[in-house]
Amino acid sequence: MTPTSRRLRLTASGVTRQVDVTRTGQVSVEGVHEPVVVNRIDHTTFLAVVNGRRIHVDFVKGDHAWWAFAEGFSCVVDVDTPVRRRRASPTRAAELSAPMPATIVTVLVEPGQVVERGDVLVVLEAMKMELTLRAPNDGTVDTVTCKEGELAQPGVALVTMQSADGRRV
Amino acid sequence: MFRRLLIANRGEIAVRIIRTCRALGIETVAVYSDVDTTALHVTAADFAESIGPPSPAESYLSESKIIDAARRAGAEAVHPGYGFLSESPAFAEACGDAGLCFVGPSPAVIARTGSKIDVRRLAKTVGVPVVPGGEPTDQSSAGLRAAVEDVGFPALLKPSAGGGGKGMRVVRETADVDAAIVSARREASAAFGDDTIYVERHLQHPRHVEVQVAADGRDNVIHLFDRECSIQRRYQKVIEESPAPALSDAIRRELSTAATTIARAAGYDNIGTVEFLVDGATDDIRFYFLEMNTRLQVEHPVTELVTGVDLVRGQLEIAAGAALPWTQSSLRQQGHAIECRVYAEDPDHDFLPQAGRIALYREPTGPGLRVDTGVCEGSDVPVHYDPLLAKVIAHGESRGLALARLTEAIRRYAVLGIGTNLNLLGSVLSHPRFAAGSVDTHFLEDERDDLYGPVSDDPLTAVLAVAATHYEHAGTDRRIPTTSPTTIADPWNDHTGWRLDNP
Repeated sequence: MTPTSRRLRLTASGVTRQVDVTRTGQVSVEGVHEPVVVNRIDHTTFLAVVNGRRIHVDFVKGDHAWWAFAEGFSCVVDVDTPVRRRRASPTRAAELSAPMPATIVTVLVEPGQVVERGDVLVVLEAMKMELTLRAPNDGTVDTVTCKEGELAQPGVALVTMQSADGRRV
Repeated sequence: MFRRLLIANRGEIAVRIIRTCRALGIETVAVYSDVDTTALHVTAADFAESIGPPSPAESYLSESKIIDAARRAGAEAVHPGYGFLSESPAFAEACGDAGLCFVGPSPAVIARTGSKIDVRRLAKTVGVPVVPGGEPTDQSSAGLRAAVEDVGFPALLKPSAGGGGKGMRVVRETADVDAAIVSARREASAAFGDDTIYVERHLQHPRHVEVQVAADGRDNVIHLFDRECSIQRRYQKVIEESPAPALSDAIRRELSTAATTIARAAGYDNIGTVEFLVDGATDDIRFYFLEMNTRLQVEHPVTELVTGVDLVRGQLEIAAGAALPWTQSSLRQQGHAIECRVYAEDPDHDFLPQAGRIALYREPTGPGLRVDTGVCEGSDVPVHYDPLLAKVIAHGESRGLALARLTEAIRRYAVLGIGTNLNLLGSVLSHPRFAAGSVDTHFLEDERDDLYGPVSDDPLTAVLAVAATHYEHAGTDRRIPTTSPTTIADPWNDHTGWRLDNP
């Protein structure tokens, strides 16, 4: 038997809410008393009626995320599905890789080194600016897989750390 | 006038230069690296020449490739825009050697005014006050350290060869000096190929005011009034306006006079900008010469909107040998103009530049509005270059009107698919300090907590509801109920108290 409604957890602009959508298109957003009416105007434009207010929303798929624009504000919208939760990686701040193609200028740590939250681990240079990779938590450096002078690609780990409470960051 | 011009640049400024050329009947040649093949500036030009791999050094900064492209395309002149090769005396010289007209000052003038150290000394000789500081001839670590100690703390290390904030370091105490020198030199070397450093006293809450100047090499030197550029991040300008708000007419006249004095002393020709720092309270205002820029500036549109001139047209006419197209007495500042720079960046992660495809692009339009863009829907923003996407400029009879128009324009500007600073711009424009005109170069840091709020409740709910509906129907046969005209306009659905007949 198909469910009469589907429940999703969505995050936008740092706020996470539960949203229920029925087969008939009725939408209930956690914390909002009246259901929201959503109408589609064209491929990427929607009209939502929230507490009696008509709000235009642009909603579109980008390279890696869904983007929304409403009343002068834009944000990424994330869906928190069970599968995604299992594969969730640590917050971006904890990823110790270059955010964009960058040249490694100085490697300031070595495996086994104890660092404090905020310590600079690697100095990089990209687009004529200096970028720094910092320790997201107190902990110990686990592996260092980068060398001065190399070009680092985004998403490839340069330094891994064990946080002070023993979890791998 | 030139028949065919090559624009040695990309993005919004290349598009803007092409626009003036089109109005003057000049054929345009664009250049593009491998990641810019479908960029807006390429499609906007009459002709286009490929100049190689994405890295700037191998494309937009390659003198030989640009000049070869000009030859192949039969261009007689080259407009360098801003950044890239615009302030390179060597490039200006190479153009001349190749029989191409460089749209800008002569190589000698660029060299003379481009060295921040030399032009500081020049300003002093003509009696224009400069920011207290030193230009150490001894560029060793010991020499620079001594210069810093002379100037006192807090001090600012600055590269002589360039701007945009690169290579600049604030030093607050002796313990920081050595590391700052190493770091500043390294960044300066990478950005400008020259690690010469000079030192200034770091002013705590300065305002950045600049004056547009123009000269024609026939002893005509004029100014086109002032601009204020005090909203900055990492010394990169974000919001600019003309005239400088909250400065008396007397001070603004003094600044304009100082600017033309320096330009004349430097034997300036074509268009340039003289930058100042303004410090102190209303009854005790002091200004200091900062530096001179020998090119068109990013924020030139605010001057164009208040004076009604086309600065690029002026550049082209002067470069083609004509006299200055404007006289001082015929120029007037009318009304007020404010500009916002739209950058591809992530304000939540230290403003890291963003790259990616623009999935949705919708520009604002309206009275008094001008949008200079280098991108459109579907544009692929590459990582390799400055992340400036576009500029939005609003003009109005008063600052209040210009601000209201700009605020609404930013609110309507939709750029989705990559992070931009549009949310931040909206917050800045609505901030009471900005509305009062009482800002300085630390405004963005000082008001950080006020400026980075999440989206408010109802729009957030709308976004979540739309997203949920979309996910609900994605991958199923069920279509989202498309709207009928009656659904949108149906007054029975409106709970806001709309009435057909007012009592």
